[in-house]
Amino acid sequence: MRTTRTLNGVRYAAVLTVVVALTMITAPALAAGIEIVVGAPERVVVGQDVVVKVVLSQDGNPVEGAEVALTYQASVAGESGRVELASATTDVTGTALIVYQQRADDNREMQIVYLGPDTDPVAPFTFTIDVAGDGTQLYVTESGLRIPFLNGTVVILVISGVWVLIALSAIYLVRVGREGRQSDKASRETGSIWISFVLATVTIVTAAGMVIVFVRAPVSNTHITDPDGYDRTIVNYVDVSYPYEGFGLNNASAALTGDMNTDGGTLYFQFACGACHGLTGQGAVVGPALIGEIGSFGTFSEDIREGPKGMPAYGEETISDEELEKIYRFLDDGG
Amino acid sequence: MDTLTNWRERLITRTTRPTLVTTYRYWLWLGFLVVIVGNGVFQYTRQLREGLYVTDMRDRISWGLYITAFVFFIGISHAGTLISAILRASKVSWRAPVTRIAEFITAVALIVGASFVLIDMGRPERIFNVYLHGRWQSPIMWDVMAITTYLAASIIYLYAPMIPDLGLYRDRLKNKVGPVRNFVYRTLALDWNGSPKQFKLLGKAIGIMMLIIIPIAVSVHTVVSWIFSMTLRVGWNTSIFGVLFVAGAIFSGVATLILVMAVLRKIYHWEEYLTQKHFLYLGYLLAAFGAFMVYVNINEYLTEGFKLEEAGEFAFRQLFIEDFAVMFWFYAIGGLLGPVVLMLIPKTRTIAGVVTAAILVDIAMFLERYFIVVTGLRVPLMPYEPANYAPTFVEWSIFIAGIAFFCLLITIAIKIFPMLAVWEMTEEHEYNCAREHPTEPLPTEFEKVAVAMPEKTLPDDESTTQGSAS
Amino acid sequence: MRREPSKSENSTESDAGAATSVDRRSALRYLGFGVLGAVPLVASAPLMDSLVHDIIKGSTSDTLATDASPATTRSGRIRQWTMIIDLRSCDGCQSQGTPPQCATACIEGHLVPQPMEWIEVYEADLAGGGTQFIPTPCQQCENPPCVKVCPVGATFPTPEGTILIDQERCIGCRICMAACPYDRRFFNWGTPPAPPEAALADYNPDHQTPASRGTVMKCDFCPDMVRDGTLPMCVQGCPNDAIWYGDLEEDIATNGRAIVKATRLISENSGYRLKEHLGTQPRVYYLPGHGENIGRDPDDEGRMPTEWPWIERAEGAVTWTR
Repeated sequence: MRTTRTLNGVRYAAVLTVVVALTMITAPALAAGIEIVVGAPERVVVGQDVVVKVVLSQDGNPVEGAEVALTYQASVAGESGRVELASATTDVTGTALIVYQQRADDNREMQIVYLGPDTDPVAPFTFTIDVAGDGTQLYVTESGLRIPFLNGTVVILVISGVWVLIALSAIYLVRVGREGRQSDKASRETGSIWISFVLATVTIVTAAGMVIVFVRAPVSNTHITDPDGYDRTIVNYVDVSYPYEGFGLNNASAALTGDMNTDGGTLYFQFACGACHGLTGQGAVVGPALIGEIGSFGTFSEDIREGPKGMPAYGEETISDEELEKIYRFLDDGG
Repeated sequence: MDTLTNWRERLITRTTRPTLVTTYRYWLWLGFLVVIVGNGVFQYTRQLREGLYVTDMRDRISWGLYITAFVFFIGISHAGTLISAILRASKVSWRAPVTRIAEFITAVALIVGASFVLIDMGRPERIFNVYLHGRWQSPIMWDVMAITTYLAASIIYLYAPMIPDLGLYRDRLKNKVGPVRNFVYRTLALDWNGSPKQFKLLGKAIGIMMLIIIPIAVSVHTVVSWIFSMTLRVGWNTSIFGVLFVAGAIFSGVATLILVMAVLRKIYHWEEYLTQKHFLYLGYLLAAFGAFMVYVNINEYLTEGFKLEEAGEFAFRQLFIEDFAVMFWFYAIGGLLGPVVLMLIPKTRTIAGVVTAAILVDIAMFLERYFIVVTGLRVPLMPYEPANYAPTFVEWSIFIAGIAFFCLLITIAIKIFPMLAVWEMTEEHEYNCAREHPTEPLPTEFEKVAVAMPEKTLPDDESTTQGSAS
Repeated sequence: MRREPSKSENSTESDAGAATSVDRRSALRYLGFGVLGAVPLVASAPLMDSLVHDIIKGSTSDTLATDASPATTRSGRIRQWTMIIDLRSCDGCQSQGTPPQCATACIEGHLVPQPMEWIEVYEADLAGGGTQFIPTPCQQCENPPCVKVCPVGATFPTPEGTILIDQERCIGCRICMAACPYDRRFFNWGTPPAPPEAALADYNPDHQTPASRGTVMKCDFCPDMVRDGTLPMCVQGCPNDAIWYGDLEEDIATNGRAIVKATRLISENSGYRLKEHLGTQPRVYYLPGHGENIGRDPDDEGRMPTEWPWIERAEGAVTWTR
């Protein structure tokens, strides 16, 4: 089995104490007089368990029983926002240790946020923790057992053994025919030749079938172990996105009939606009109605190129300007 | 012994009669079968045109009559293995007249059973994907491998013991049949001349197959059962399916063998060879397997029913009390206990009794395959109302056409191939005669053979009677 | 029983065994042949593998996006898609007075043939009375029973953990439908009802349009949309933002409005998975509830039946019951 992606995080989990230089950061005095001092490693590795030490004090006195949370700015599937990683409560010395496992590739705008109990607003404290990562996958599906020798080899052995015996039996029959021909030179029967021919064909077809099946069949049915071999779709990597191209057309000339309206309708379907906005632009659950709602071509094309919330952005490589015009014409004319 | 030659000649006459004489009844029967098969083919073209929509299978009950038929016919194919292989390996003497019929049933049933898988596919034209893109980890691939192996093995196992008889036909029927059959006999007889060397080679061929076809046959129906028991469905998710299916296969195989035997015996007057003893012994086998099936079923249903895990109550209710109750209890009482009772009562220990038992068993085993498939799929997986399934006319047509095709292949085979194993029967008969007259030494193996094939083994001036110690 | 073989003028060789029997020695010899015969096959397996690898594997490669080799990123980790469905915010769209919007959005977005519901809202009985609504997409199991049984590998896992179906390879045997314990796979029994435009689409397992007869379909977690950075149709369609979609590798999830740490959302709300005891290890988590966050009473039963809004454009369509 390929084990290119092992759970390195496990090893780092043993390192709970901060081994890189702690940088003491002092915070400016805050509105409610609560001072936040944060100690965190400068740089962490993906998968590592990170300890962030937060000390709250007010007028020099430690603040006990305050809840603080660690957040960072994240984005996934087109949505960005602040994610709360973990929280902790300060003890009698005003110290809280927030522990979290570094999963993100990038800790943008890490913040310590004061949650309570004081209701006066406390400005969050922003700092940075750099992340280094070697691209080792953390979440690895472990389902499935690997028992040595209990795999395709056994199946091949058993089946080959049985077919060898079958072939052996057929060979004896061929020899029966040959023996008959030798003892009676006058006969010219072709039975044994037929049998040899059928036997050879069946053997070759079966052996070829087995070779093809066993060589080509994918090794595992779990996920991460064989990313290059068996997938038939593009893999999506973190921080990389591919342009959304909708349904595509199985025949490009379908959108080149020459009639702007018809072509627009085809393109409207091709880029899956209809999937969200309804096949005639009348609106659907996900996308609002477009008929009668689109303004000028300028605002229309701006929206498409930028991609409002929830909608993919269609760049020029995806939809050319001429194609955009056709779609606009199709919608403007009533879908 | 005079009577031996006469006996043998009589046997040959009786055996070759179906090949030589064709009455109008045969053509009527053949036409009838062709019409049924033709209707099945026509309905299948409807299915090809419109899709599996023409059946009553739907998302919730996605397998039905076709898969039932597949399992049923593969099950019947175990007749040959039991009679030919196991009984031959145990050197049981009464099996001789029965072996050929059993082996034919095996080969034909495998062909019909495998075609039902193709009929059930949504995209039959993509069958070669199984070779180009096959995943050997899949239970269906194991099925493909096992059935292909079993088909190859059973064709050899059908053909090899038939070679001496084909030699006989080649010699005896040379001027009595047309050129096609002559060609078939000449080619398939492999220049058989009955020499000891040929017998030795033939013996080796048969011997190998006899040994390996038993594990192959067991594996085939076990693998078929795994198509069901490798899923997580209530009612299927049980490890006993392998045993249940193999036992059921042999059970239904013996029953089908009894039925075919009874029909052929009646039509061709083979009462001298397929005697009451044969039927009774097969009946005892049927009863024995019936009892074993009762045991296996008790194991399965009692352990599952005692616990009634999630959805177990629904599964049992639909099977024992509500929707499928008639089917199930007919199977349990009529099909499983029936043969046992019929063979225990002296009054029904007759050929008629055995044939009745066989009919009950075949119907019951078909119903068992049906309710295993349908009830397993009918148990709701999520909170929805259970679906229902009732096969449509298309499905029934194709299924009946499958049965008709089975009969058709055997009907055609009768016209060409010897349905009684002449040389083996002669061998055994001679041996039995000699045992009754112990004053004379028993024939050697060669001499037994010499008796079986007198035309080719002894020089002309020798008498064809048994050579005594001289 | 048998006496010594007596001499006969024509015994050419002593035949030790009967004409149809094999003695133990020969039997062992044959078995030995069998094993011996298998050895070269096994030994040559690696050779065969490399020999045929380029011929068979390479030339018939059927990756549908072969030229889009993934760009290397700073770290190159693969997202592991997951869905978290907050049942506290799901009332089957009772309050909306419409059929469940997640199902409708999915149906519109993929032109799902009637009567398939790739995400289906079941109404389950609660132990203490009343009901809860459970929107059930394909559970995208990590130990998927459907993938394991497919004879041709038509259903396959992607590295992101999504299970897809290649309708151009499916042979329609339906063993995957028997194997799925969640009732999440659907078959095109007849010609699938589709609007006329669907025939123009370029088929791809990522968007399953157009559907083809005699093959299996199911929810695919909208891989083409999430790859770009848009949420799946059902997530976007839910009016109460009850469905969260996320990545277990970076451990975040979003419902279109907020973004949270996925495992925290699950564990702090006692999240569970369906039919855990079957060992399928599904990727869809549920936060227990019955719509209380949007004011639903558990005794408020019933929802509007699902509709296929585009169906009137599919002329002469044949549909069937589930």
